[in-house]
Amino acid sequence: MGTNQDQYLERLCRFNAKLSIYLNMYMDAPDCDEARLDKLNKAYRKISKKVKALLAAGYNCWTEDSKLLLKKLQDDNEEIKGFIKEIDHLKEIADNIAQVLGFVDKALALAAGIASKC
Amino acid sequence: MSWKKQTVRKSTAAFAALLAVALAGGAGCSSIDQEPFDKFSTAVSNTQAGTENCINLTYVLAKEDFVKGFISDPDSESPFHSLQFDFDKSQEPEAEAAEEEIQAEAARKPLFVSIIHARTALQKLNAAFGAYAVLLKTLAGTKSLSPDELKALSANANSVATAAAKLSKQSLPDGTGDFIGAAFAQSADLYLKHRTKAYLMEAIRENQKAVEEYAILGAKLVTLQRETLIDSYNGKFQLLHSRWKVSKTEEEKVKILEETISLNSKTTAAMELLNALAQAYQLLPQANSDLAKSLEDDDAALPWLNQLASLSKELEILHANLSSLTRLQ
Repeated sequence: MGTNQDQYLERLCRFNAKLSIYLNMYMDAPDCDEARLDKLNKAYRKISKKVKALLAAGYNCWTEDSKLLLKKLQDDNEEIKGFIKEIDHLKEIADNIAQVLGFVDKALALAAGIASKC
Repeated sequence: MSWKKQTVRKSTAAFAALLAVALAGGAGCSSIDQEPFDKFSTAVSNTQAGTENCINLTYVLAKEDFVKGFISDPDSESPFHSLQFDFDKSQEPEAEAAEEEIQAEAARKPLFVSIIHARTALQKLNAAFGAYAVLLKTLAGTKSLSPDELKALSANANSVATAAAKLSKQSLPDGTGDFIGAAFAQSADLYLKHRTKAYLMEAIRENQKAVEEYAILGAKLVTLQRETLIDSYNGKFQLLHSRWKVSKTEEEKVKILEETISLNSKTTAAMELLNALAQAYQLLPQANSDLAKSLEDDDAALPWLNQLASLSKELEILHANLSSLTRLQ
């Protein structure tokens, strides 16, 4: 596997780490929607399970059964980069409750899409 | 004159005579500046020191994560496997498994098991770089080395490097060859015969590609450990966060807070160490190249070697920091 594909394992790990941070922020926000929180949590757990399996296989992990996920990560590359930036931005804002609550549908759509390929 | 004064004078004279012989012998054998080789050797040795501690933390967190996940979801990661003790197996030649099969097998194992393999791989890789640094230091030094000793030192470094690559399950690019290749050995042999700096410089340059490829392997292993630590940390933090949300008593809250503080400080220290280790692996090839430059020009600047040397001092501090935090637990 080429170095070009190596970066996608790190990208997925980074995405899931940021998703975990967002989950904590959303959970702490007053009036957070329990149903959305639950969906977000399920997506995070599914991706996390896949991350563990991929990390256990090392960089040579993009075997046939993970090719769909690799393609999804390649297709969503820009969105994932944007998501990572957005979470970093949300962390920096002191009073960010409205922004955290407003970001949930975007986060959920991206996370659910990636989780569906895990 | 007292007995004591006489003894001191005699010892001083003997030491001066010995020093003169040693200096004359050194200059006759080689005029290589030892400092860059000492720096390289010390830096490589410090790189080894930090690895074990931070991987141990990653292992503990990943194992806890696995146990928690396994309890809440019996299908998670993998079923239990009992150990097999097949002593006869080692006497038969082992058939090479297909790459896909090896990867599938690795993915079936819980992550914390892979961490153990990665830790051993990194330790072996560090040992290979350590043996290479010792070999270079010995070659550059005044002590003479026999061709057999050169072969033995190279074989030792090669055997641990090969074991590291195999354990890491990472494939090295085609044509990488041995960690200490035949071309290095040939030039080093010529250096031992003629003691001409140019041969040692050639030996180091001949080995540049191998040093680069094995350093990339080291950096990749460190990056995998870093990602594993982040994932395991997030799993543990989520649990603490969820417990905090439902905790009622002050005693519970204090306990969760203490656990979180301890987790955060240890993970921060381990991440700093892993970042420095990754940087050290990135600097190793350039430092190797600087060693060759030091043989070409006594006044060469050697910026990469100096960066590696100062990073290795930082690694010592980070290592001590993580060790003390681990003991606090």
